[in-house]
Amino acid sequence: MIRKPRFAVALFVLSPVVLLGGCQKDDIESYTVPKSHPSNLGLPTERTKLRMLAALIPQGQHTWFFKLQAPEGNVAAHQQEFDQLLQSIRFADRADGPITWTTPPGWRREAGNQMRYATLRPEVTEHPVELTVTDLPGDAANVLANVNRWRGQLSLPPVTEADLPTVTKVVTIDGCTATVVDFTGYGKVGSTMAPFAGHPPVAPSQPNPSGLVRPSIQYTKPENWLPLPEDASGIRFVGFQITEGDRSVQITITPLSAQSGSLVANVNRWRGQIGLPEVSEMQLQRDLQETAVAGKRCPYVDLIGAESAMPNRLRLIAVVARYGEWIWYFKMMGDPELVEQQQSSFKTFLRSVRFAEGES
Amino acid sequence: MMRMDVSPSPVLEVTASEPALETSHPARKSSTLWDALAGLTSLRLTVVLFVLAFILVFCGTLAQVDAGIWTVVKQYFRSSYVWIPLQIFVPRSIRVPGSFPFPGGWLIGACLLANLLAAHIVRFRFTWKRSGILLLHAGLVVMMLSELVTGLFAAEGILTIVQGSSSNFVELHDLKELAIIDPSDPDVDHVVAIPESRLKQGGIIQHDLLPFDIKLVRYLVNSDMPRQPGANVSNPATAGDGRTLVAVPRAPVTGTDPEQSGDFPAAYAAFKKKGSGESLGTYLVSSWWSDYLQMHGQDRPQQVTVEDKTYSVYLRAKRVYKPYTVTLKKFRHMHYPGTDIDKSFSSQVRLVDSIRHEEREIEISMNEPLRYAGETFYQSGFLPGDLGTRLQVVRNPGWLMPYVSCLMVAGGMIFHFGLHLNTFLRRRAAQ
Repeated sequence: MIRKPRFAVALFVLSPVVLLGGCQKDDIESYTVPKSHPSNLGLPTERTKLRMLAALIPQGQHTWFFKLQAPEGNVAAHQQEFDQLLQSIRFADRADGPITWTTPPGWRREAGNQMRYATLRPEVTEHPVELTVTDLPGDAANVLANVNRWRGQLSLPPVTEADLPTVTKVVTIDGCTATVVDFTGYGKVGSTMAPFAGHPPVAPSQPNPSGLVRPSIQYTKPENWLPLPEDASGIRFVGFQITEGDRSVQITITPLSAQSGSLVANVNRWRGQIGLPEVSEMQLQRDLQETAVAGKRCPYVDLIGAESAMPNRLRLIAVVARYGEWIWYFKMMGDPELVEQQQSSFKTFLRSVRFAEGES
Repeated sequence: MMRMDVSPSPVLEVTASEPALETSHPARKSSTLWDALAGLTSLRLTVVLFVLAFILVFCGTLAQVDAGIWTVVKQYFRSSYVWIPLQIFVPRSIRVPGSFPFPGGWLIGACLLANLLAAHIVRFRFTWKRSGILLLHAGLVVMMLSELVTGLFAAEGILTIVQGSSSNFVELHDLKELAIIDPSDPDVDHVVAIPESRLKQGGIIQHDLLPFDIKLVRYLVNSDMPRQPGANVSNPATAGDGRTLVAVPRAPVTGTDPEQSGDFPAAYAAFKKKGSGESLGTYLVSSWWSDYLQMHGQDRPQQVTVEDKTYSVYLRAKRVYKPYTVTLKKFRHMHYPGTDIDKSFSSQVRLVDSIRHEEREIEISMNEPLRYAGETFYQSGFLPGDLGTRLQVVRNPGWLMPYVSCLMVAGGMIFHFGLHLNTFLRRRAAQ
């Protein structure tokens, strides 16, 4: 017969195996990492020493930006050509050709796009560079903001208005007073930063200027979100409002074409709406969060107005979701405490969003 | 009495009419060890262990309402015991204090393994008729051991590489560390890493390897990205970025969270000069400023200066450095035509291992991982804007064991049922 079990003895035999589960190597440890390795950030060649030559030229109702940014050695090889090109610039009062310049020998000019007037690059060189020409209508010639934006792109600290003469050079180009900079710092190679961070987005005057079919959208909204009156401009797709006593919050959904401005431009527009100063692309990336919309991770910003705006301080949460040729802007703005209360409802609402082809 | 030979469990081998112990090893029946083994063969023990396992799985599932998957795996399944809070059984709106101890997954698994092995040791009789059963049970033993090997020795981390650059370390995102880096050497960075488990204990951390003493003022297991403080918000930081930005606590990501974004811990740490206790400032350190910003090609170290030497301090995912370097040559991200729906990702990488003198170029895609030096590199994700790739690097010495186990179980069953079928067909033919 089988004897009465003696579990205690058996478990004693097993205990070393079982106790392995409690063993953890949790000591303070020390090691060295070679600097030449991609160790400090995990992104070694990210922080490459870069040099930027740039010029900001206000002319009439336009502001022109010429920018050449590349690894330090490459820029040095082409500095003379950049200076000569600046001096060759001529302005004309013609809609089809408001500006002309002499393209350096051996360089080719590539067609521009909605964001860029032209791109120039040397055809055969051991030191590849790219020179971009950007034209912004209206008063975009805030020298300090642009200089600090450029400095931010090279991880350089911002300067004050008083410091401008020491870090910039003022030259005359075809009768216009231009600001020229020559900065060296660390940044990303091949960065695709928008050339005009801080400028309002190039929003279409019509919601569907390109004739693209806007996808339809489905969502589930909380019951206490009441619809706002229809937007007379037709830009906003739909809006809701939540009111508690004298506090209120508005939620808006706006679809725009994918060309409706860079993320940083839109975020700076929103920052302006709640009294915050503009930020550079680098600063924005530092504050950017992500949340899920229609099952995709999308950029998410959570901004609270300046303290000086008290007691009318606002909080703004916005999410940018790209779907095909459209960018959908989901925004919640209003009383900070009410926004905090509604934050989880807003995220649940975002998760419920579904896009589908077909005019909505 | 009917015998049940066809059985995947040792318990069904045991019948009251089978005096295996008495007949097989009569000389050893009085030994204490043998008594213990005999006790372990108990059918009731097997049933009790299975019931305990069911309860543990049920409680572990409920616990994921409040805790992350890996926290639950570690506490409930890869442990010898667990304190199960009563709160998990009632809606969270009702606060219920208290908890009770329960055997953990490894204790139950070890007992099941012992139960199975004991049954075979006590009643071992090798015959061809029983060989299928033996093989099948051996397969079960391999399966149970594979979980032990995986739990003890498997490690997985994420290798993040920006296109055109290289990396030589993986990050273990479920483990955090406070890294104090001395960059003063022109050739190397000296790193001292304090594990998260020590940070959670709080108090003062003193160690010969550390250039200063550290007093943990507050540790947040999860937090929102540091933001400007609102009115009347107390801010313990007196130095660094924490002077203008505060960490906002957030509930830990749970196993039921649809976003599964992982925890971003933050800590307020007061640094003090060794010996004198002179304050060097209270700093905020946040993993948003390391793990998150790294995905965007940046970081934000907190600079602590002591005796004219400045150290960079990060709260970050634990890093494990590798003897090889992987360079991302090209990352491809395909969508289904006309949609934003992901179709496939692939990374063309170059692996250079100076120790093994290996250098090769490989394409890693979603269903075609790279296996190298005992590690498997899976294509697991990408950086925002397709700037780079994220590879999951898994080292599991027991990765083959489940496959071997399944083959053994299947082989054992086929052999055993085959024998029975053969016997049945012979009898039928004889009739």
